[in-house]
Amino acid sequence: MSTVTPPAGKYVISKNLDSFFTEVHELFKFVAQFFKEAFAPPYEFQETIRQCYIAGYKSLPLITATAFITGMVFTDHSRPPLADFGAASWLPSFTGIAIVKALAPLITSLICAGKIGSRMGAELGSMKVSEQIDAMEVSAVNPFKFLVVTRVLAITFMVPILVIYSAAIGLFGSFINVYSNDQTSFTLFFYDAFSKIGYAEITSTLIRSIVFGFTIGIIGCYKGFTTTKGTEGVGKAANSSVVLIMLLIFIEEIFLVKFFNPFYYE
Amino acid sequence: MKTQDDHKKKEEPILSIRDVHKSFEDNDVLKGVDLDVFKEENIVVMGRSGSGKSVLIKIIIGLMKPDKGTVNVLGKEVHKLNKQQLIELRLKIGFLFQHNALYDSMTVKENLEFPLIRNKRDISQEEVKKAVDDVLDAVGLTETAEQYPSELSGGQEKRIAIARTLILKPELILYDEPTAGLDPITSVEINQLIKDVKKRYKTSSIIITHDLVCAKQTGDKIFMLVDGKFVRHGDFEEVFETDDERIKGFYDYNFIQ
Repeated sequence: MSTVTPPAGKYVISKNLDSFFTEVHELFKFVAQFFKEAFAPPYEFQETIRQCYIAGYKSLPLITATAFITGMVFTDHSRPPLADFGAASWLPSFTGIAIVKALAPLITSLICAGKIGSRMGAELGSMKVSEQIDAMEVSAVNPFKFLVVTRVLAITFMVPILVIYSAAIGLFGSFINVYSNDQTSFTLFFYDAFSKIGYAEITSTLIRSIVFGFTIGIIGCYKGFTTTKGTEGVGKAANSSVVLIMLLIFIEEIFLVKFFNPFYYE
Repeated sequence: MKTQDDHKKKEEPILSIRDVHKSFEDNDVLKGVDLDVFKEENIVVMGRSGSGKSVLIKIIIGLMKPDKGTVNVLGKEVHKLNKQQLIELRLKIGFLFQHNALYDSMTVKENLEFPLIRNKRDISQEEVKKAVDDVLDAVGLTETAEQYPSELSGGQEKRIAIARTLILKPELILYDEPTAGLDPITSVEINQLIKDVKKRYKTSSIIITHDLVCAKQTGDKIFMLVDGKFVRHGDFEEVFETDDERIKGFYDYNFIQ
């Protein structure tokens, strides 16, 4: 799949706007092709599981460290203002809501964007410029199915799992902080932390994680698959994957939070 | 100069190209190319860099579409095939990329197994092993099975890339600059390997090159591509015994180099 650029001097609106709309059109075609290929046999189960391992298991150390630190630091930052209002006892509930609803999905997805999205962009970009993708095609192997579908499915499946894990580690980090200051018991902390979290919150977090995971996979693969211009293009693919994924995650977050907010307080 | 028809009047070509045109924006790369390749025949296509040689073989395998003209491979018109039919046709065509295009995240063995396992899903482990051992033996590199492409020399990489094209037992092999970037001794070894492949696997080939030694050693016929058209064809001596400056210059320059 290649980006179609209008010939010089024949722009419909202007060079930049034409390129933008062409890119959006190509991206939608790429997404449509993903859904078409994902449901058609043969299925690449083994490669999908391998990609789950790479995207999920190999991200655990980084997710663990960042989630733990985020939980601890966020709790530390939240204590003084809550204490000022005489609401220090709300700290477990407050951090619970913040970590489960906002911090875990957002921070985990952004870390995955940096770690996995850039990797996909660079890996597929490098395969594209070294003709490895063409080599698959001429070997009668469908490179889109083998490279793109497996990666997108793997990351879409793994991000929600990583988010649940990240939330658990973040809450544990928060508990360590609360325990070292207030000597709260483990059971009481988690009872308070989950007192304001219901099915709606958990469902919202999981659905947002799935959307973010899909965004990471599809953009990383799209940027890699459409790489041109040699090694410089590979660098650009990796870089622009991360930038675009992060931007889209924030934009999606705005709309998804607006969408899910009415369900929280019903 | 003999025509191809003189040689193979009774035989149907396995590849037949008629009046193929291809342009990139304002650049007309191919301007009406005709070519027939017969069974167990090695055709060398020569021409300067940018003359459209690689474009031609990418059109043959269906990676690019011609603007005009027809490409018929093994009785199938390539650009009228649907996706599944194209996959089935590609199983019978081997393609050697100029820079080998080996999968760098896989070992040599995995590189060779990859097209086989993906295309013959019911194949047994023993059959896969036998096929891999057979092609590694054919290219003389049985000891490299567990190595990664980055651990191989240029000549070894080329041999493994040839082995990968052979694993599906193709009837037609397309070689894109098989000796590019190799030293003269390794180039001669690769040329010999191309001849051995033809003999052992009874394949037909199109060899894209601007290396005269490669052309002379591997080609049954040479086709000179100049300004988007074949201007001369025949055996090596026939093609280069000419006063046509476009061909003479090519020969002299190669010779001096």
